[in-house]
Amino acid sequence: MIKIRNLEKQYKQFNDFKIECNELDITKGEIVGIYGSVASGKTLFSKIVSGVHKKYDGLIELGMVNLSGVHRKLLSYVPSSNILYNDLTVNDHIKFLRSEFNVNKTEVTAKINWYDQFYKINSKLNRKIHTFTSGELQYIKIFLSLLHSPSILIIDELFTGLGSDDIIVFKKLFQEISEREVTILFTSSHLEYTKSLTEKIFQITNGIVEN
Amino acid sequence: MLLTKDIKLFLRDKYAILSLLFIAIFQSILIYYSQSDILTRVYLSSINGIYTFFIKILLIIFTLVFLSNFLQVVYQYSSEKENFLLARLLPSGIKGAIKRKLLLANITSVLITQPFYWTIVLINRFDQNMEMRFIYFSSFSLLFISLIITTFSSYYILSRSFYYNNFILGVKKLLVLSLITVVSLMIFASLIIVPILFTDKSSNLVFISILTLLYTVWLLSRYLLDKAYKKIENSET
Repeated sequence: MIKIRNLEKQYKQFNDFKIECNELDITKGEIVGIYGSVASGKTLFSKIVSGVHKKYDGLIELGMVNLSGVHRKLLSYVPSSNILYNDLTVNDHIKFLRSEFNVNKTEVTAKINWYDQFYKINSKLNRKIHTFTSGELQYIKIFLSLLHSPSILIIDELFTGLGSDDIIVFKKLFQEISEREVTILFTSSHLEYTKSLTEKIFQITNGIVEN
Repeated sequence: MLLTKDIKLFLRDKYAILSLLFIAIFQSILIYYSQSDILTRVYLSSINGIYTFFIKILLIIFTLVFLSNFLQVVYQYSSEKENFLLARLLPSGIKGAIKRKLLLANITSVLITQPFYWTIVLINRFDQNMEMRFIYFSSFSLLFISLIITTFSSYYILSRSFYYNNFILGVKKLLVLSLITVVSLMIFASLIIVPILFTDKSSNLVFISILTLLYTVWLLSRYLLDKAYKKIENSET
């Protein structure tokens, strides 16, 4: 599902920091973690793979399609920061994304009810984004990213604001998503948490991604 | 439906609502004041008086154009985080996001100016005392001016502000933009006033030339905005 070969990208704005990845293969429905310490290049790597940063050397294929040609509907990227609109409610975001991705109302309702077993989202639909804690926001961001049923889910700094109890919830959530043949790639700086979610872990050190 | 999000974002800002309220009160006072007997006697007693009054009204509407533009400068783009990262992840992309913001700014500007203009025209019976071609010409000019000012301001915000500051302009840049807007409005005002002052000599050709010029300036501002959008799309954060 995700195939990376000889990927290289240099960032002039970050003192010529370089991201490199010689070989990385992720199959359909697989859960993969990218572990690295602070400032190791996790965010930059996730932005390249998700197509936010477009210019690079090498090859990135998502579902047999070259990254540049991938439609936004195939992939969902959850950045580590909050990019949602603080003054809008969860419901406003759902309505907005529903019309952007052309998702029907019944499908959205079904998804809300399904997600409610992991996080009580039904009771929080009318809350504005700025009222959520960072942990809660992580659940909201992941829910919104799943709204249009993407085939690939890329999450940067998955465990932001999450505790050990949440890891148990996420293990179940990821298993269910994975069973629906959604490929999950996430980055983290917590090795123990990463290990508890997947066995397939790549390490990133000074921008170099290795097995 | 997609525009709803931008409307909600705009209307949920209490300062934006207060500003809109202030504009509405300002307009109501002006409409009430323009109807007073003293004004009617002074201005509507002669044909020159009518035109002088009409020009004053136009200049007041320019103040409204400035205010509505200021509203969009302050509130439209500040909700976008990390250089439009959310928009980058959506099918309509950054282009769609900017298009919607510009559309809302244009609608706001036109809604603030045009109904006010026509209310003043109709309640003061300008339509009965003046040539209709002046009234239509001024209305179209106002429309173009509103579009030019909002489009140029969008370009200015996107190209001059720092994305990591959520497109919020600093005081200096805000003052520079205000200055550019005021100077542009003064130039536009002189352009519109010329054919009105020389009523007898102005032919339809003069009106058409001015409107064509305004249309060209609007296209130019669209071109500048397009350049700013491309720069943002190619930037990486």
